[in-house]
Amino acid sequence: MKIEIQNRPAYAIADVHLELGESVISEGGAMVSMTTDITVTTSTMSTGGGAGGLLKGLKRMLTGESFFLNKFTSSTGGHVSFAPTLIGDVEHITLDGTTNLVVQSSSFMACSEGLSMDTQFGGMKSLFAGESLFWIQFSGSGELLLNSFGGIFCKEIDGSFIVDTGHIVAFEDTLEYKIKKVGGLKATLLSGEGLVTEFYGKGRLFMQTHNASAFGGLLGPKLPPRQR
Amino acid sequence: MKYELTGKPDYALAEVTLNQGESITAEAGAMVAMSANMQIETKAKGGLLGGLKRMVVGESFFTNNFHPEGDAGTIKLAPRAPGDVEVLELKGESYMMQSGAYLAHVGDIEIDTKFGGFQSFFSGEGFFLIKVSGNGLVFFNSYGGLKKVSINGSYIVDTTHIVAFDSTISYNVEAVGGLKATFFSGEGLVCRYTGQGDLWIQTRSGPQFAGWLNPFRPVKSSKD
Repeated sequence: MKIEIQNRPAYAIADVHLELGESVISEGGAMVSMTTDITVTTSTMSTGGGAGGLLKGLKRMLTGESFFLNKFTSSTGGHVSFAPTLIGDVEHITLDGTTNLVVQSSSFMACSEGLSMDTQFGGMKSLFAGESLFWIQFSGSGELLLNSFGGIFCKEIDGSFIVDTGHIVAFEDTLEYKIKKVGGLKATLLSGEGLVTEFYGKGRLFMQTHNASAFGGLLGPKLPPRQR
Repeated sequence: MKYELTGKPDYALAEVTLNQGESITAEAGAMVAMSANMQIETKAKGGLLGGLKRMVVGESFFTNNFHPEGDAGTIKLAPRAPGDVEVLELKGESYMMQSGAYLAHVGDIEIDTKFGGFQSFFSGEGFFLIKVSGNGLVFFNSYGGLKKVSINGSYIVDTTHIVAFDSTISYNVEAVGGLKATFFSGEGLVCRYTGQGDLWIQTRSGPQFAGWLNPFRPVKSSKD
């Protein structure tokens, strides 16, 4: 597998070159184009307990918690191009099996077949109330493509560091974290900063320069209302 | 006539300098700035019927024709969505273009509307194509970056990512994978290309962004 990213950082697109028989897995809707030797199969991913399966996946789709994965397999050697929904960058991260990476679900774009994906990771599930975001823990060795809203940047934490929760893309699970309010009650309610995450320990944290739900909240009220 | 593309690829702008007697036709709303001696003439392109057809394919009903008077003049044109702008130099060839990709043209260019195919009516994606042909320049734009793919054989592209392609390439709109993949993959419809020629794709999808934004809309109360 060879990965090439173009149009960085605003409109990044990733070309994943596959060898004969090789597969890449992506979130539903990320495929832009592909060679004709590629076959696509769709599966559901279990989020927060219980088995996957079509019916459960459908139910989750209706409750806004769905996660469909597509597997692209090349029969003769070819490529698939993937791009995110929002304006922003794509980051290629190689996992070597020694450290696991916890990824915010909307930041996941694609990965090689060998990586294992676990959504049972509970700690931060309810963090974004009313939003269909959850966390996926990646382990094993392989290639991972993440996308960000805006630019993506990495910080090597050694000690402690505070980040706005909506700006987290991914972090290594060697890091510990706790969710906290920023400052006192007045700051929590009026600062516009809401809840923050404090990470501590040693490991890498990937952040995005923009907060997707803040952008949605900016545009949404200007649009005509939708039917419930 | 001289042109320069600035702000590429994120926020591209076409800056066109015209001599006396030269003119450029642009999509309504594309003008950002121009010198004061520019004259503007608004037309329903191709007459009333042509204008209506353009409306059906998701383009504006009217186009504007700009020409300088007394001296040379400049005009700056930008697309509605953030993204890239490129220019096709036509010498008798023709290209198919996703409706909305057309920005402006200079010279003897004919713009014809052509529907993308029967299936596209049900896709909700407005996969409508226009055909540009003739002799001259066609400025076109993308949402996101532009990526040129030279097709030699066959290739598959998500319909919402198509910008323009050589009209000699044959294409077919189809669902991706099997039935399950079609309903749940989130990939919608794709275009299968066969032949030889150039294809431009855009690295972001308008309908996909609109779908993302939808949950942020206010909910209509039951009283309304």
